[in-house]
Amino acid sequence: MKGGSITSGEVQKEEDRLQAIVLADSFTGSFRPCSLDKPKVLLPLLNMPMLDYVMEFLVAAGVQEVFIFCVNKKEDVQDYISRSKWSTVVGLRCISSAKCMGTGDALREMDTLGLVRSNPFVLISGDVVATVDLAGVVAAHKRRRAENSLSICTVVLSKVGYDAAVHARREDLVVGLDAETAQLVLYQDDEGEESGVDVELDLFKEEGHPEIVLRSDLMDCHIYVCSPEVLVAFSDNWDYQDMGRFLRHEVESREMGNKVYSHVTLPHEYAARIHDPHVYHAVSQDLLHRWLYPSVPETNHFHAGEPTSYRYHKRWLYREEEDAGGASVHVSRFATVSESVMLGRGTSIGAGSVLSQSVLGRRVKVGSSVHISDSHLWQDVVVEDGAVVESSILSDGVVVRAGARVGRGSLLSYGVVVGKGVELPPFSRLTATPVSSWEEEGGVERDGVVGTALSVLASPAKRIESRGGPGGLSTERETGADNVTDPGCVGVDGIGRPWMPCFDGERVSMLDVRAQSIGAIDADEERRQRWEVLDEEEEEEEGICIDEDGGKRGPESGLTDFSSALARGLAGVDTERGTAGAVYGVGLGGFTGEAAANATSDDDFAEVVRDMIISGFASRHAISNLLLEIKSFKFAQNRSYAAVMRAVVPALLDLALDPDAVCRHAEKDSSLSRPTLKVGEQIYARGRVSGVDTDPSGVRDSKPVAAQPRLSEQAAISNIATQLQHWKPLLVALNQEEEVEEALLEATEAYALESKGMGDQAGASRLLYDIFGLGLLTYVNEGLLSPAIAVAWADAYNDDDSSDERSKLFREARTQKFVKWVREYEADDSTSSDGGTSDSE
Amino acid sequence: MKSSVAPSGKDLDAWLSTWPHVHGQYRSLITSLQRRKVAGSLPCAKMTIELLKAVMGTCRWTTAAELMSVVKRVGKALVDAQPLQLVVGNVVRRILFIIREEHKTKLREVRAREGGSTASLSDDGEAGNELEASVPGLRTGVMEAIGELQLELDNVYNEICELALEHIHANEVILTVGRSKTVETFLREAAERRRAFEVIVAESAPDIAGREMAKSLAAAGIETTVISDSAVYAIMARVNQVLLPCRALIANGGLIAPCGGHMAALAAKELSVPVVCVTGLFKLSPVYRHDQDAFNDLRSPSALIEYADTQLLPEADFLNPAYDYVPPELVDLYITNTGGHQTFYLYRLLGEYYHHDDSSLD
Repeated sequence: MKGGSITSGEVQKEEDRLQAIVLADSFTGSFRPCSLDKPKVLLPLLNMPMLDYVMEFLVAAGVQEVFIFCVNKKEDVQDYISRSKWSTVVGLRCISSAKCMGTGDALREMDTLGLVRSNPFVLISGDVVATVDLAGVVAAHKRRRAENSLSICTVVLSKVGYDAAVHARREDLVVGLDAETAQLVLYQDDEGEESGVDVELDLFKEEGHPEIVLRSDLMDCHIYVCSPEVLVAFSDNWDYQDMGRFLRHEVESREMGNKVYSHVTLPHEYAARIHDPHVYHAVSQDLLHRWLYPSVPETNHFHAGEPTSYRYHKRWLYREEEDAGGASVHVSRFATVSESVMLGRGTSIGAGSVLSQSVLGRRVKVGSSVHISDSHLWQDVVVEDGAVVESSILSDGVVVRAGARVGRGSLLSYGVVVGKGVELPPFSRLTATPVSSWEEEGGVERDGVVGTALSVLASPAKRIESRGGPGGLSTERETGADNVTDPGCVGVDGIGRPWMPCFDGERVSMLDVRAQSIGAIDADEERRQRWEVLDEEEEEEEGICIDEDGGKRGPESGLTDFSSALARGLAGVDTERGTAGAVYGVGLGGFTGEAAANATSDDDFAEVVRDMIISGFASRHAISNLLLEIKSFKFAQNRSYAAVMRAVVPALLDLALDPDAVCRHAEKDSSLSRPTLKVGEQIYARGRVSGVDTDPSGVRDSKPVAAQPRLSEQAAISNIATQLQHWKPLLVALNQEEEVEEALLEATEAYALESKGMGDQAGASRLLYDIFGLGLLTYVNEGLLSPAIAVAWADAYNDDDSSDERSKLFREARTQKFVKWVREYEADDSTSSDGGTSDSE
Repeated sequence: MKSSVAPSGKDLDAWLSTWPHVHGQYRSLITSLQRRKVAGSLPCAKMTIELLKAVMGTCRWTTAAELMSVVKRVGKALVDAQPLQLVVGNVVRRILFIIREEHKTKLREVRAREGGSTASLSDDGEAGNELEASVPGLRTGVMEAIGELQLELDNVYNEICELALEHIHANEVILTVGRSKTVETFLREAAERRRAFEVIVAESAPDIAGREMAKSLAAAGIETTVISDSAVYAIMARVNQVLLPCRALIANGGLIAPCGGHMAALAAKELSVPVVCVTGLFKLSPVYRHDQDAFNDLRSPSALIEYADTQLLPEADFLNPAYDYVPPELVDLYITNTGGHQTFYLYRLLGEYYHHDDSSLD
């Protein structure tokens, strides 16, 4: 096997022999639990290991020596490399260091080893897919380097657009580039301090950048061309944990004089980094749609262990040809394989099955009447009759038994078996590997690194959710060493247990995992809808609100949310090259000016918020998104939380008590009745028979409020309780000031009085007058209204014996009962709320 | 030792690596085909011949059957590397045909010398066991014949250009689509021989190669006009003749032309303008087309739309086909290095260049 195609005729200077470092670990853990069983770079992308794409990319660009840096499971990578033919084409060496915690450590290790001698060298993440002219980038780097030895690094930035699915969540990057030289003058990602973008224009001018461009449509795809100084910089600065940190610091610390340049991908170039399963699916689809041409599946040119023989067929269908052994793809005549599907050799698909936008590996057995969409089935997967798999990744050897359903966003690791008829909830992550084996490998806690995306937003509030995660697993089971099966989750005939996102002994929010999963498309959709809403309200200056979890942060982050949104909007507007000063001025001026002009009356404000709530409810937006929207509006209008609360309460009560409100709204705005309803909050699914098609009309009918025009008192109270339960996160988030709870009370009171005033015409809403006390009681029970405030409110009436409507309401029997109860409650904190309820009945 | 012939395709690589030089050449050709680094049919054909010559000259083989097996295997690997470059398969089949012919002649000579009857060597008497027979001088004979094939390829443009004046008449208006070396040489030749005519070039979006073509023609002193593809029909009434470039000629007489060729041919048919294809016969392939997408290559959609913009149209598909299939009934004449041929005559040429047993390289 010697004598590969390396033409070693001419003797090369060592410096000219282009070397590359491939980081085989991405230090994010987003593919867990799969990546615990197999290194991430060896996970298949379109049935070829990800590492192959990187190797092909490097070799095609003329790289002659590659160092693959592994942290976990070095043997697997080593083994793969020795089986593949890459080592005959390029010098290959596997380097491993078990104590590495991040890119920074890896680079320091490389510096210590002193193996990298080429100038420049390429630093690339092992999960990159690209068709960038790397040789050209290297040449450009060399040229700049010859002119100025302080040019130490060139970053490849992929122009994917702001909203692209390949844009990893949370990697909100704003860069400033010198318009002429493409020098990087600003690099700001979301990590760390959450301040918006701070641009000191004068500074740039002084430094000789007459014109800079701020952009937010670029993605750092982890391809860097570096001079040796980069390694030295990492060794000198122990706080450089990853390239993002390095870039931010090097770009900002001007006294060193180091310069970082960028290469923004040209229209015909494609580059993406597979950050998480969500991006994985997006990139797969891009590849099937041939954005990586000429590296398309039917090229079959990867040096993987087994040769492939894919062929392109109409409508983005790729099928592998029959091999010598006669294994071919068998698709039943009665199966529907719609577009963007890839089928490996030996795969069979039964009658009545429907496949779309999915990748199936070799020897996958799909039974009849199976639905598979947006999914990735690796090798030897079996899906039995009538099963449903949507937006999920099924690793090698997974079995989905008849009638089972794998909810969207799931990730099933090697060897999991989903039992007959079992319904896995969305975003399940299952594994069949005993915990103990991971610990032996020492890989469990490893790649959770400080500062990675996962840990950024993990807050105590969200950890609650992970505890009640899919399958409702008990803690003992999780820690039970070799108990790999949780029958409660995968059924009695299944194998596997839920995997809990955790590292460093700390739970990570399930929400983070969710946002990284394939099915998390609704966030995109909502983002788009929010844009539309904003456009309608002529509030463009608010920019794009990208962070779907923004609402979960503390109140003070609301402001930074907004300011960063402003900066993003600003950067987004400036896709044309304009002088930065001008853009800045316009952006800021626009903001303050508009805000002043938009200082509308209280009524208008309340009306807008009310619309947001009701339309949000009708189209079933996630509460966190609605909250973000409302917050942005609040800041734009410069209102207090109490004012927001005053606006929110009537809307909520309308939803609870006035079944027509939603319908009326829907009529008013017909655009909301389109079927965006699959966007799902689980609360709505509760009342439905699971597995039933998500028919919008069906969903609406099942809403309790639509049941009857006039509600009984009992039903009204339970409606209020349901609504409160649903909106609780919103109300809790709004409850930031002392006055908010008072506002809640006052608004409810006003609502009740108003409904009384309207007489019978108000229909059901009049009810509130009658049950005002019970309503307040519910507030207290839900913890939205502190007893102290309620008592203070009641006290205000004590010395007021006027006979206006307000005091009449106060003197209603039920209200009095509530007042009495709340006084007792306040007096004796230990009284349980349950006791209170029975008391009031 | 029986290891002289690779037992299966998978071991071919290992078998070839006995001869590092050939192996290196083999790998680098495969890789450049896979990466679409070799541009143009003629370079592809020439490089394939070079490689096969090296294999034949260096590797171990004794009989024609062994040699053919090796050539087929190497050829299959090359074809798989870029299945849409039909020329590679053509050249491999041509060489297989040459081996068969040479073997037959040499065997006949041997038999004649031995005094045996040549009657047993009828055309269809070429049984397997005869190919197994080892004949002296086969290597030299085949090499010579391949040398002739190379010469033919080297002269392909000259031969075609000889016919330029016969087909381009004074003051004609000629329409062509996209860029093609053959068409370009053909037209320049006519211009050099002081024939005055006018050329209209459809730009052939999205790669707009037609503009380059027009520049080159204008530089040769030809009166040239570039039009957009959509204007082809409108201008067809003024055109006397359509000259189509060709990527491959397939067995039914159909033509794989650059994208836009089909439209031009249809427009010409509608207005009864003759459609002429200018091509070397090395592009004639003994393969048939099964469906509309066969032999077509979908390129990156980036030529049509920027990636960032596709996010606004999530439901839209962006197809960027590189070629068009032009059915035989739309083409009136093929001008080749062996003269002009009617469409229906092409099947006859197939028999002259390829052996029917070699249609499949498996």
